[in-house]
Formats: sequence, C-alpha cells, structure tokens
Amino acid sequence: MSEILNLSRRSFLESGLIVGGGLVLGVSWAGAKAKAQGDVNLHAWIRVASDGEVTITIEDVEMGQGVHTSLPMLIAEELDADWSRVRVEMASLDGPAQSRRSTSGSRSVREGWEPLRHAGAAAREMLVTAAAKTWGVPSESCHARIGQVFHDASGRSLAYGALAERASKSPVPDAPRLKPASAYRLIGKSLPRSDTPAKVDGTAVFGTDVQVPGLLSAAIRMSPGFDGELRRFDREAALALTGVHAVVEVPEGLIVIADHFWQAHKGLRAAAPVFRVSHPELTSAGIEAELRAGLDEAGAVAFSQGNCASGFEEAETVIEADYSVPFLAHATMEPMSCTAHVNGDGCEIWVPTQGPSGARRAAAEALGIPTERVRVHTTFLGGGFGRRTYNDFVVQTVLASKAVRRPVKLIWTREEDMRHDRYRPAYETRFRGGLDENGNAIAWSQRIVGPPLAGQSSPDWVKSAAEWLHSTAGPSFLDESLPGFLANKVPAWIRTGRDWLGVDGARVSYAIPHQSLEYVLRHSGVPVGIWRGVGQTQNTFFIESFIDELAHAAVQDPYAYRRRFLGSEARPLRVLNRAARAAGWDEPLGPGRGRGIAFHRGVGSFTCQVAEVSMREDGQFDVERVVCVVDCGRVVHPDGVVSQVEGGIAFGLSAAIHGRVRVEAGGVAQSNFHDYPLLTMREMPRIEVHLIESDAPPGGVGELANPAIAPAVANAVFAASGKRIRSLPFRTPRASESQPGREGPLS
Amino acid sequence: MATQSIEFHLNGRPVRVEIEGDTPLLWVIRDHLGHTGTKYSCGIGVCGSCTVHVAGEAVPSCTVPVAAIEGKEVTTIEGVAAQGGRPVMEAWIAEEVSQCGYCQPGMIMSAVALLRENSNPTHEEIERSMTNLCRCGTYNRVHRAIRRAADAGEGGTG
Repeated sequence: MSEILNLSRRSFLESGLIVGGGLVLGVSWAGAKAKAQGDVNLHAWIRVASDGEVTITIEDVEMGQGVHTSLPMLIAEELDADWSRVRVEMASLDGPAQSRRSTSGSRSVREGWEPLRHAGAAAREMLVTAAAKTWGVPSESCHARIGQVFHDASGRSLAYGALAERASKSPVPDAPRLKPASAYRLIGKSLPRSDTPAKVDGTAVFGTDVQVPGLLSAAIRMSPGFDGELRRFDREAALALTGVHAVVEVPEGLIVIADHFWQAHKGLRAAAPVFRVSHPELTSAGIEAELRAGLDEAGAVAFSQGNCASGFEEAETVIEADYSVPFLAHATMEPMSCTAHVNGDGCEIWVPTQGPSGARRAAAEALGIPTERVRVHTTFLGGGFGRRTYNDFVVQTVLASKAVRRPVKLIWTREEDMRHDRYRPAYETRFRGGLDENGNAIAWSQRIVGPPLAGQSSPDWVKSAAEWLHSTAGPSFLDESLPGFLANKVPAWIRTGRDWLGVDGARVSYAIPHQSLEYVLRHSGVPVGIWRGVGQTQNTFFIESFIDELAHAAVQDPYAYRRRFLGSEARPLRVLNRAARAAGWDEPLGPGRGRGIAFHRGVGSFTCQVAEVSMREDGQFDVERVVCVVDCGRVVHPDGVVSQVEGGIAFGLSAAIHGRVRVEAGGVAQSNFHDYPLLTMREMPRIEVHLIESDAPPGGVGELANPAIAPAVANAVFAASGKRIRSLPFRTPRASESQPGREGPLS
Repeated sequence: MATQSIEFHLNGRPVRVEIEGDTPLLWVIRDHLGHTGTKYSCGIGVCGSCTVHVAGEAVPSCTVPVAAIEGKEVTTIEGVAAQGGRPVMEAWIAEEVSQCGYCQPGMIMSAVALLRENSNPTHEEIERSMTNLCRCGTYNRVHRAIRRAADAGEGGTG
C-alpha cells in the first residue's frame, strides 16, 4: 500500500529537493508508514517547478538496469508530463529519513508500478484542479495532456509550470484515477535512456570518479585468507614515500592514504603487510568433499507433496544423478570504491551502492554517530549484481577518513575485489526421478547441500527478499518462519538448518504427483552472498537439466515432455511453446550440433530459452544462438527488457563457461581476469529476444534470464554429443590456471 | 623514486606533470589531470576499460608508465569526439549499448581505433579486435554500434 504526501510546503527535505517552489509530492510504499515530517520513509519524489520542469527523484539506484528511465516513465505517464521537460535525479539520503530500501531482487518496476503511477496521477489531478479553480469551471470539464491543462469548451489552456504553485496548496487526492492502458503514451515505448549520453561521453560519475575538494586517495590490502589477521607492517617505510599521509589499520587489513592512488598503492607495497591466515587448511577440494558428504544425509524438508517413498516404489524406472556448482565472484567491472568525509560530528559519503540506506547505517555504526548525521550520495554503479548490497568497503572508507579528518576515496584493486567478495555459494545436489511404464514422471526428489546464505546477507535485503518470496512462489516453510523473522527474531530456519535462499527456485513447475525437497546445511568457511538470481542460478540449472534427463530416459522429446508436465498454467505454456516455435525446434540440425531447452520462472516472470551449440573437435563447443522468450507481464520499456535479457544471458553464460572461484590455503586462489575469465565478445552468442504481450502487472527482469542459460546450453550439448554436463563450469580449467595466479602490478 | 617532469599532449593540449615516472598513464590521467572518463578495472591490461589512444593507437593505459609517453599525443574519451570519434559515439547512443556503463569509454576508444584502421570490418575482424570485457553483456550491441558507425562512415560522414 502506498502513501502520497504533499511536501510542497516543506522548508527542508531529506531528498535535497529544497530549492524553489512549485508542487512537490513524495511517495512511500512497501508497508512504510509515512507520518509527520521527520518520520517519513519515502522512495520517490515529484517536483513540478514554476518553470514547468518536472524533476523526478528516485531512491532506487542505476546500475545498468535502466530504472532511472523506467521508473520516471511510470510517474510521467500518469502525470501526463512532457517527457522532454522531465529531469531524473538520484536521491541523496539526508536528515531524518529512515528508508530501508535496497535496489535488488528485480523489484524496482514491480514495486514501483502501482505507487509511482498513483503519485503521477495525484499530481495531475492537483494540477487539473488548480486550472479549474483558476478558470472557475468544474474540474471534470478540464483535462491534462503533455504538460498542460486544457478547457476545451473555452479553448483555454495553462502550462503545468503556471499551475504548480496553486496546485501545491490543495490536498492530495485519496484515489487518483489511473489511465486505461490504451491511453498510454510512454509506457510500452523504448524511450532514450536517461543515463546513456553521460555513459557514452565519459562524464557519468561512478564511485571511482568522485572528486571533492581536498580529496585524498586510499588503497587497501586485506588478508589473502578469509578472516585473516594483520600481524605486522612497516609504517615508516610507507610514510617515507612521496605523497603518503597516513597508514590506517582497519578490521580487515591495512589502508594507506596518499595524495594520489598510485602513491597509496606504492605505500602499501612499502608497508608490506603480513597476515595470519585463519584457516590455511581450507581448499576447494576439502569443501567439495564436505558438501558431497552432505548428499548422504537426510536434510530439513523444505517441501513435500504426495508420498515420494511410495512413488519411487511404484516407478518402473528410477534415475539418479548428482549435480554441482562452484563458488562464483560478482566481478563487477568497477571494483569496490567509496568516498567519505568524516567532518565535525557528521559524515558525508559518495558511494556506488545498491543499498544507500544500509550504507548509511553501516557508516553511522562504524563511527558511533546517529544515522541522521550521515549524508549519502549515490553515484552510478559500475555493476552491482548483489555485491553492492554489502557495506564492507563503506565502513573501511569512513574509518580511513576519520583517521585523517579529510575526504578520502578508497578504491579496491581488482586483486582485493576478487579475493574479498561475498561469493555465490557452491552447492551439491542429488536427484531421484521415478518414471512409470509410459515414461511419465511420477516421483521427484531433490536434496540440496550448501552453506547458509540468508544468514550472511544484509538483514534489509533478506527481509525484503523474504517478503517477496512470500508473496510470490516461496517454499512452504517460509510461511512458518517468516513472521518471526520479520519481527527481527533469529529465524527458525537458521536454527533448524533450513536456508530458503538455498532452495530458492527449487520448487518445480512440473506436475509430478510425488515430490520432496530437502536442504542440508554445510558451513564452508567461505564468505557467501547474494549474486544475480540468487538460489535460482543453481537450482534452475539442476532442475532443467534433470527434467531433460528424465525426458531422454523416457525416450521423449525434451520440449514435448516439459509441455506435458507444465500442467494447465497458461503463461508457462505460452513461453515454452513460443520459444520452441521461434527456435525452429523440429528443424533438423547438422551433425555435431544440438538444441537444448530450459524453462524458468522467477522474480514474478517467465522465460524459456533454446540454445544451439556446435561441438568442436577438441570436445569444447560454441554457443551459437539463443532464442529467449520472456513473459514479464506488462512491459514498461521494451528495449530495456531486451537489454537486461541479453545481459542476463551473457552473465549466466560467463558463469556456465568459465566461472569457478578456487579456494586454496584458506583464501581465493584467483586474483584477476586472467585467472577468473569473463565471457568475451567472441563467446557471445546471437540472441533473439521475444517479449510476450501481456496486461498482467509487471514482473521482474534483471534476474530473470541468467538462471536458464546454463541448462539450455548443457541440454544442447547433450543433444549434440550425448555428453551430460552435471557440473559447472563447462570449461575445465587450463593447466596454467591451476598454477598460482600471475600477479598483476597491483598485487 | 624521484619525481620527474613529463610533458605530453592530452586531447590536443600540452600538459606537464611532476611525477614518478613509473606511475601508470591511467592514474596520471585520472588523478593528476582530472579526466575520469578513463576507468580502472583490472590494472593488468586485460579488460580494456582504461583504453586510450597514444599516437592514435588503442592502448591499455593501466600498464603504460607515464615516462614512456613523453612527447606523445594521448586521446581519452573526453577528447575522442574531436578526433573522429563522433560517429561511433552517436552509434552507441542509437543502439543504447550501455548498461552499467563502466567499460563503455574503453569500448568506444577501442572501436574508434578499429574503424580508423579498418573502416569496414567484417564480423570476425570486429570480434578479433574488440577484446574489451563487459560484465553487463553488451557485446551484441557493441557489435551493432560498430557496424552502424562503419555504415555511416561509408555514407561519407566519417
């Protein structure tokens, strides 16, 4: 339920929107209870200025997903604004605002859809009322269009700018009327993205680009192992170098502050910090063995249906298979970075973060000051993918600035970024599938073994994700654990060894009578975190591969088999059928080539992907073409959706082909892109995206496409070669990669 | 290491820095000369985010010590429009290539250098030449934008 507040008379606003008059509305949602000034929790602001300019300020951050275009479009549509007069701003956090919002979970458009349109409509009705009053005519005889209000009977019109002041004095309408979809002028159009020009000419400011007067630069060295401890370093050697101002110890390591970054970096080398590694015995091999051992244990039951035991007894054929996925790094192109100025009794931060409010609280806590003394300015994010929901680098930066009482910009090197991520957990899974004499799947069991993820994620993120999972298609045990969790109690599923992020996406869409889903918790010693698509990234690979195995065991076509068991739900069937048709599923391919199909539902949307691969003589393969059908409900910005889908496929393919974080001697073995390779242009397939027209409310998109590509490709490889891939990544590490990593100049 | 005086041209203008000569060109451009469009990402010359032109050729500025460019002409994203880069930038906007945008200045610099050498590259030539990494997966749009810029150039505008 959303709330819209008239803020026009405020002398002070937490968003920084204080200049000038006009009409200013604030919007809050997601259960927020907006009260008096000083106790509001707003997520977006609209200002119609007297000169007609419309400023839309958004709390959600821009990390490439396009929400600084799509969210303003929702407001501008109902406001009937002149899009060419709309300016988009990132909100700053200041004053008493206590939002807990983060930009994650593919939630921006889903959550903004109703409240932002209502806010736009409310502003429009206030402007129309102001015009009607000015002319002394009934409001109903006036209408708004492209930044003006018209009174057709008299042929009069007034621009929004001229009406803003008067409109600001009226109350916010309780139930503003929304347009019918047939009247949309903006929603559904691929308008130019608001962030594109600055990203093309190099003027877009990312975290690493922040410049403020008196700024110092900082570099950090952290323990090569997880949870290591700084033992000794040479402070004097660092301070002796040109430009070095200070050497600061922080919980995770050592920071050198200098006039410029390269000087700080050289200072770190001179300081030569030595760390004690906490768990030198920790290796990938050991962790994998531990996870595999969990496959033989009975786990907590996350979901069950029918009676699996009797289902398997009835079955004519029982298939078993184990699958696994490795730890993965986020590897955002922009490494972690933050600028902070601890000053007087407050602090100002400039940071690329997915959770400005979380960053703010983390900084306040680290400094021991009230949250309202921290101002946060969010820059563009050079990639997020979940990594920037964590605030380790923010805390380090404020501690560094506190030590010198000057503004400090901390930039992690790629090496630090690679080794101090919150990794997508490694998982092992065991399937059993039972087929009757006609090849019908009648029993399905999955046991998932992995480290607890929810317990290591930021509480805000977990809470909002829990609410979403609960409201969409979460596992059944969420129902019992959620109320306590939302009351900030220790979640029952942590005590009982359940972790719903690990089973996220593991509820199959297929109508199989007997089902069981178990989770076995195994600690790994590796810091883990949410990673674009979260639990669905492994579970969709597992499930869509194993259903393919069942289809082949039943000697049936994998597409037809899925269609049969998808039941009667219209939307899943539509994406499946459309993908098969668009891909030419039945058209034969040459030798050494194959097609694979994968269906996926997640973040409130549906997708089906068909991948085409061709085998090479060395046993490797090329992914040549991907057909991807998406049903994400009503599409606000079609090209933005296509972009996210293309990017999601690339992200998923990068992990499927290359992604594997190796643990050696208690830390991450890799250090940079030479030994943690990313997908290249050469490896990028042709991608054809088809969007289903729908008037259902918008679903999520950012995390929709990446989970489905690995199984689509693995199934295609099976079709082409008869080889079943049950472990990611596809590409086995090159010999050089099992050697200690080549060190870059910044190591 | 003692500081030295190094002079070169940045986007057509003479600049001089007093600096330790082993400082990578990237950090000189960003920290000393305030041009932040050129990005740091890998620091080992693998990802291409820091690509600039030195004497017209695309190089990863993170691995070039500033002492090595004494007297040379350096072009960054801030100056490339004036150096024939405009059609590429326009194509980038038309194709809505960028997502997070962090790697894009480097991509554009590589694309401009490619088209300068080869005004009509084939699909394979584009793939071979464009080794910049993009985590958001904009590769197909990069491809289309280069194609679009090449076609615009053939029309006589380039």
